[in-house]
Amino acid sequence: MEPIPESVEAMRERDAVMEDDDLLDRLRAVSTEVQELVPDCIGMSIAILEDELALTLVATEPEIAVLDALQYLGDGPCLEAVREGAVVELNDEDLLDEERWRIFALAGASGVVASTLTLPIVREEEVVGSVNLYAASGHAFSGHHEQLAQMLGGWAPGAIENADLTFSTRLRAEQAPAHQRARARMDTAVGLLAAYAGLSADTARSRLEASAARAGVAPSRIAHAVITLFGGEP
Amino acid sequence: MSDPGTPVRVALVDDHAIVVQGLAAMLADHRDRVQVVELDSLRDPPDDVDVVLKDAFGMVDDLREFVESTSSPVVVFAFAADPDVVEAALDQGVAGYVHKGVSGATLVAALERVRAGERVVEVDAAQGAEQAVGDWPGRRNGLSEREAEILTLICRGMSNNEIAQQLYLSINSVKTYIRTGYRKIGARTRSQAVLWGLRHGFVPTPRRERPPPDG
Repeated sequence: MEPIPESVEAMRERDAVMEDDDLLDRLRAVSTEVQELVPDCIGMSIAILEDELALTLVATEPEIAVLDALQYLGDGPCLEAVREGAVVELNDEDLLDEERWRIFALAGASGVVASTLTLPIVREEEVVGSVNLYAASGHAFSGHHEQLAQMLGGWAPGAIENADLTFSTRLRAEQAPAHQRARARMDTAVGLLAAYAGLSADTARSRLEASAARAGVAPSRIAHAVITLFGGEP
Repeated sequence: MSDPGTPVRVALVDDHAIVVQGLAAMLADHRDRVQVVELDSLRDPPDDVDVVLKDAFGMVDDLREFVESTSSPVVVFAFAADPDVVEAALDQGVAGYVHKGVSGATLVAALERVRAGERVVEVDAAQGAEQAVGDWPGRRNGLSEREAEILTLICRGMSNNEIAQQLYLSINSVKTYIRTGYRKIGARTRSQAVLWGLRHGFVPTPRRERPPPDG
């Protein structure tokens, strides 16, 4: 599977100090393992709660994924497009191809996802995130919970099937670049406020958030104003 | 314009006073050929000089307005040697583009040629040069010029993507510079890096200085 364009962009904007630039590569690799176990797995999403990071990967081989999925749609425009060669072999340049993603999104929205598996990611007895898998056939993940949990670092006893047949996690993944940019702006504003007001970064953040709450505006708007005022580049 | 046989009258310009001071120190060894008549930070460049030498610290992409604000020819002194960057600078109307890896003598010669009306590009000898000359914020704390440039842009509120576009770098390079820079200044978050930057002279400050006539 390959990441959707928004997931690539989210990782570009992610704070460099996280030192996880290879996260998408690792997810690609593990998605291959997942597909070896569940061949018609057509999507995978991961959410990391603390960082508000949501990433989605989708199957890249139209002949085994999109075609399989679209057969449930009948003779719609998507299937026509596939027959006419609008969706062909993929190479690196196609990874960000909007048409491919549009077709997949349409397929997902049309109920092609027939089974899902949600696995919580638990660290030190706390849920820190989740992995969602999506397949084109029913019960695709039954009997595989333990193996998939092992591959994905998930917690098998917490596995839930078919909790997200609408593939809602891809919508969160589409918003991830904006979230990452907003986090960076907030962090910058906190640093600027701390420097100009002589505060620690933690105190500056608390003050900024409290000001936003009192004023009834989003913290991102206050952050924007602070950057414009002190940083010179809104 | 001064006579060809006399020193080139140069104004040095950058948003950061420390960068301007570094350039002045570099040219001080060539007083017989270059006379630094003004050092400007965040001020409009003067018109009564032969050449305006603009240190493009972090800002190679945003020169047109500056060039149009002065009647003197502008020479850009920059870290980037990529042909696309040079072409973009020339397209914005600069009279010369000199890489920071060149020697002081080469820079001086470039200034003389620009005064004579030439359009000058000096980057070939600088290809692969790792260490730039001059001075910049954070240098004394071990930051390379690239790391300092990027921290400057972070302090201005730019996103990773915006910085990559501004400096004509890949996103991976930008993130690598951020990480190495953060390690050197002991920052673990963007907030801490910005706080450090503002406490170490990464805030542009308006300043105009005219050195004594004898340099």
